[in-house]
Amino acid sequence: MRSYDFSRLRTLVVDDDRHMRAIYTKILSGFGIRTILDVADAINGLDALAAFRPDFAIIDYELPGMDGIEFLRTVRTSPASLEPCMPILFITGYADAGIVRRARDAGANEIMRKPITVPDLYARLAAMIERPRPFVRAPGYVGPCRRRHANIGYAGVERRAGETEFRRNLAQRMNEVAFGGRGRR
Amino acid sequence: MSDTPKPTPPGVDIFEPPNFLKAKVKILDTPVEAIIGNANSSLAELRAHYEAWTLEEVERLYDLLARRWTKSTERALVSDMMRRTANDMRGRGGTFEYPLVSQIAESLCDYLGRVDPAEQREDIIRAHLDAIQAVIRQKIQGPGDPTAQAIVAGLRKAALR
Repeated sequence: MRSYDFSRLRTLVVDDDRHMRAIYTKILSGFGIRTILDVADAINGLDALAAFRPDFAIIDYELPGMDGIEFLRTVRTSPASLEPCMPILFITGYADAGIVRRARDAGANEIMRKPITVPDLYARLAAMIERPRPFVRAPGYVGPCRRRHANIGYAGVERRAGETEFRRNLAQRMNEVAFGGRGRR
Repeated sequence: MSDTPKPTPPGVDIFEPPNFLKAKVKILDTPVEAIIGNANSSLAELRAHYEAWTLEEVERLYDLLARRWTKSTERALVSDMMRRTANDMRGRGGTFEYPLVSQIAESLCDYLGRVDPAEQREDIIRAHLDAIQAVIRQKIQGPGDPTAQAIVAGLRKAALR
């Protein structure tokens, strides 16, 4: 894991617990991030995507009204979404495997369980930088590829339909320009 | 089983989005441990506040518990408010080296989420709040001694009945 200067990153934090928001802000500031917006609910979080244009977001699962999973789904699939591929770190206080599965299926890049620790949060942020996953748009799923370790060099027998084609596409696209497309601040 | 490549199913698109995060960060020579240490120091500024926050929240829960909620809708609402607060306390305890608070709050949160609000027992809820208050007031950081662990185990057992 490398050391990074995160000072240019714009970060959105969505958590209804004001004390947790203070905790995230302290840790992220300690990492050197200077521009942090924290909001207490998902609706304000969605508004902030347009107004604040974060580079990544941290979202809690349990929120008043729209929960963190609905937020993820909206960001990934809404035609109005400005940042459908934005990296999102999903946080839950529950050890429930069902919540983790639903967050993954709604398009979370990384998932963490509370209590959060500084090294864990740094590692998740570094993972989003160092190991970005291809993005998938398919019927029923929009988000980062759910196979974390796509083994492109695998030479054994294919056991899943479309796997070879998937790897070929992946290998080809990984060689394409990573920073093309639209401009940004 | 055939090795013949099959095309990506229609309607499925796989692509590499621009890595804006990578584009906006710079690699530093500083060891990662220094950055983590800096963030830990920053977080430590909240440690004293954390103890005050938790005691305030416990007082608020005592207050909610002391009122006589008669309507079932009120009871459900108050129970959910208490469960959410317990969930918040569970989430923060470990961050500030109070894992016992996280464990007690988790037991309370599970109890409030699992048992019908009409059947929730005040003594069980109050015992959890007393324990959280005692841990914070006595500043029992870390896993605690065998007595503290036995108390947590006892609370869990009572909450699971």
